Amino acid sequence: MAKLIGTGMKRVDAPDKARGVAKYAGDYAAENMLHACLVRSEHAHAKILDIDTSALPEGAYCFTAKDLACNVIPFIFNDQPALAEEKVRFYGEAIAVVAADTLEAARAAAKTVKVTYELLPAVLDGEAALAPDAEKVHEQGNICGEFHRGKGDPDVAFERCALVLEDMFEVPPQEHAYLEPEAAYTYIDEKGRLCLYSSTQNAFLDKTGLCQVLGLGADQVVSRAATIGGGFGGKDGHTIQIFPAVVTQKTGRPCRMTFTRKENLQASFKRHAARAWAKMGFDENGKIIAFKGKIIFDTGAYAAYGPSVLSLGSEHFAGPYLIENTQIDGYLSYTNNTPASAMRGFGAPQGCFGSEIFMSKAARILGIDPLEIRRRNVLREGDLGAIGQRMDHSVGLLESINKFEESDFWKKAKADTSGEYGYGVAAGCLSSGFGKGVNDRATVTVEKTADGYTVYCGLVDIGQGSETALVMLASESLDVEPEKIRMVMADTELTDDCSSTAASRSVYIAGNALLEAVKEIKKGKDKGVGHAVFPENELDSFGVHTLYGFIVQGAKVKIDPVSGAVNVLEVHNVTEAGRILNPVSVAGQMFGGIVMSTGYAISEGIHYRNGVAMEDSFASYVIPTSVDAPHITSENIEAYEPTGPYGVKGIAEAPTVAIAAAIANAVMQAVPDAHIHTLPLDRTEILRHYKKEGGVR
Amino acid sequence: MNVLRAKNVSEAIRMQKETNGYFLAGGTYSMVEINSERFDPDCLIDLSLCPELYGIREEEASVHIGALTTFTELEKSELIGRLFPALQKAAAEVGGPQVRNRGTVGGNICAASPAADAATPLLALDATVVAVGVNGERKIPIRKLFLAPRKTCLTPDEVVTEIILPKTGSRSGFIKVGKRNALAVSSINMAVSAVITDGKLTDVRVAAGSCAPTPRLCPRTAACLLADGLNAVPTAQEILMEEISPIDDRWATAEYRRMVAKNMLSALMQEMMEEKA
Ligand SMILES: Cc1cc2nc3c(=O)[nH]c(=O)nc-3n(C[C@H](O)[C@H](O)[C@H](O)COP(=O)(O)OP(=O)(O)OC[C@H]3O[C@@H](n4cnc5c(N)ncnc54)[C@H](O)[C@@H]3O)c2cc1C
Repeated sequence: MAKLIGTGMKRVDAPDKARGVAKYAGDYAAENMLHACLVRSEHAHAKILDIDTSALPEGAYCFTAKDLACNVIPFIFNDQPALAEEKVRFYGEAIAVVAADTLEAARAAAKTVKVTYELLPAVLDGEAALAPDAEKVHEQGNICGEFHRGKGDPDVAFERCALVLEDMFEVPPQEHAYLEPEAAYTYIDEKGRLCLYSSTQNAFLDKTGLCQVLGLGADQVVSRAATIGGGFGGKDGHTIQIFPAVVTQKTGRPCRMTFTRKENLQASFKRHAARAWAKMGFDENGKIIAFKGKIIFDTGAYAAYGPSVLSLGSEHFAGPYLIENTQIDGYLSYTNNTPASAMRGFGAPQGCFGSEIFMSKAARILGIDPLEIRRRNVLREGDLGAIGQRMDHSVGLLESINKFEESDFWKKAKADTSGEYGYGVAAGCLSSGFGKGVNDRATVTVEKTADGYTVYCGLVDIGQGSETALVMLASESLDVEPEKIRMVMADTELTDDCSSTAASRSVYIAGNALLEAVKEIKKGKDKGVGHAVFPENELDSFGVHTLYGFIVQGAKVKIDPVSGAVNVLEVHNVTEAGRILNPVSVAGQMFGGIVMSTGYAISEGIHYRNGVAMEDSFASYVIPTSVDAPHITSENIEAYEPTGPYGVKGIAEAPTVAIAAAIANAVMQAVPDAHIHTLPLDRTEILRHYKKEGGVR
Repeated sequence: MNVLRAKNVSEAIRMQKETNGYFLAGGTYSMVEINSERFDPDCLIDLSLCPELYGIREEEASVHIGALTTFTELEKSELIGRLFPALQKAAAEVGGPQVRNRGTVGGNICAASPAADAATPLLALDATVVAVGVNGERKIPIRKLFLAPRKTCLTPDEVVTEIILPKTGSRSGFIKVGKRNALAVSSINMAVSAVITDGKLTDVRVAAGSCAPTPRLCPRTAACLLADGLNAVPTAQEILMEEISPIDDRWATAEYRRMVAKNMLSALMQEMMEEKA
């Protein structure tokens, strides 16, 4: 029996996807199916005075808040209605669901629904929202969350620093840009249950939502994930599921809904825009003495995962360094912008952009190599992180820095005296798991079948490769060929609730549960049920984490002298993720995360005009193409996490944390006078300071 | 929506009169407009079967480019590359390979986007647009074609049949800047064409896109360069910044467009003066 751990086993989902037979939610269809679309708000902030459906054509249906048993989406704050009733809080908010026999007919019918509004002043800036006299998005005010944590006394410590850096940083909302837009399909099965197939990261949460909003019992709803074309956090929570479900509940007919790209860009969850003020003090040897940071995340009209993003973002703000004196203050504000929620990196990239720029700036000013200054400050196992959390698991930052230093990329960078390119590095960590006080567990069942085993797991493969990873773990531990393993995932009828496919946790938590289940099988049982619970940090701070993955990244850039455009030519990446289960999968995650965040660095971002996203297609929301993406190389260090399945740690989000800063640092090497503190990197500022202004090369 | 297919230009004109429809060439502009519900025509008249609209033809003093010539054809044409490098470069930088395979030069100028990439070099190269309609043929200097964003001086029945470029022996260049390196709308583009005899400029045209409501010539900038060649570039840059009228929009700010326009002018002048005659 071949040993699989550490091999680049091929993706089990690849053949179906490559042949086009994988079934996405938007591929489901049935005779008699209704097509649905939404009537959406045309304003960022307004009272709804009237919804007039009298012109609705025959054969079309229209459902509003009045048709719902309970108009509250169950989530962290329960602050969002499924369908806006008294007022709308963002442009594109759902007001009514319209259904008809064809999509064209549904869209035409939706246009006949007339909504009368009374406009309210819109709150469009996360910082301005916190002013005491700001217009209120929600009755209780615009402060959706706060985070305050620190240790030592930074104000006193700054006094004895050789160098203190201080600046304001600003980053825009980012779109996940998954290939598959949000889609869902609902029908009533032969047992009379309302069944949902959706593009989701949490089939169980979807079921809870349907039960609550539609007033159905737990035995009346079945929720399943279809094949998913990318999630990145954006499909975790309430996106589209409720809408076709209302139609099916009321009409008894199957119903399907898919968002257009425009709806996706203008009205679906985003990465939080943020404004951050950071102050970092160093001694003459580059040792960080103190860090003080304040960060404001704009969560838009509804909290969604905002409160968790706030705490994770604050926790990671100061970077992966040992700092004795810290103070971190985070704020989450409500505005009338598109709701922001989970996105790969979950609040960390926003703060780390500033702190990693400071690390390289300090290195330059103090005359220390940028890797060396990071090495002098690394967190090691047993150290206390920025908010006082103990690093009590595998911590491979030092080894990652050392490996990076040995890379061809870095050697060439050091040897390059041409003056044509800029080089920059950055380091980062990203937590795995939900964090302290959040129920983070999984139950996985393994069943012996006639010709192998079936594994039941409530998590979803959203394209990241968790299905393949679990097949590898099952195959290895049961000592059978991978072909003998059948996976059943994300089905509320057949699998157990393992909560969200999120937080770089799937392989770790489900892998551990799976290995527990296998132990039962090995005892001779035909069915094994395994449970796993995520370890928690001893620090008494809600949401704090205990297990982190580490990365070091470097970028090589060339500035276009005419346009100031930043061409990211190369990126080198070193990862510490415990033991590497599948190096091809890990490389895939690194490459994808790097390309995604290269876009964040150079060209992406949503601009709102009166709360309306101006970027409403992939022509104006500019993600990197193959000629914009850097040439990427990636290595892993050998490590082992004792609590993980076969020594594995989660790593899917880490590549997004520091790369924008690495690119910014490369730009600052090329154009040292430019004040780089915003994303996407400001070409105007770069041009202003480019050494050959006037632009002839 | 009806789609009619015309077998030649006169049939296309007749179909247009009968249906009040819109012409369709490569569809890379029209179909996007239709799918995004900004354009809702009752009838489209496909021109792709009209033989008169194809081909690049060289004559004694001019080159005739059929309206249905695709960007890929322009990019691959040895003749265009030799005589009109600005047009070749612009064609090579349009969209991505799929769009270049379908998108046509006629469609590009008729769509009249302020950012149309073929319009700028055609302005700099002093193109003449030939249009045929119910009232016969018109020869329109391209500088008179564009009236406003998405609006030309063509009447709905007029088919652009070809674009004529005079063979002046000019050198020319084109630069485009978008938000990324492919599939990018021009935040700004520029083409310069100049006849250079014994190191002296005898005829100069500067055209810019995405920095006014239509792609346009910058005659004052050109006049300044004509007077004093490369030495005049700094003064010409100042004139250019006043001559264009860019705005802030989602593609760029006015300030950025001015800075880049300035850089483009010097880069293009440098490139042309250095080029071996
Ligand atoms: C992904 C993508 C990327 C793009 N990138 C670029 C780019 O980088 N640069 C750029 O400039 N453009 C770009 N475009 C826009 C478009 O491809 C070009 O403008 C193209 O030249 C349009 O030509 P077409 O033949 O496809 O026009 P069509 O869509 O067929 O027609 C466009 C308009 O012109 C009219 N028309 C066409 N031919 C004639 C004729 N012979 N006589 C009279 N009227 C006519 C039509 O009625 C219509 O109004 C892009 C489009 C897409 C979808």
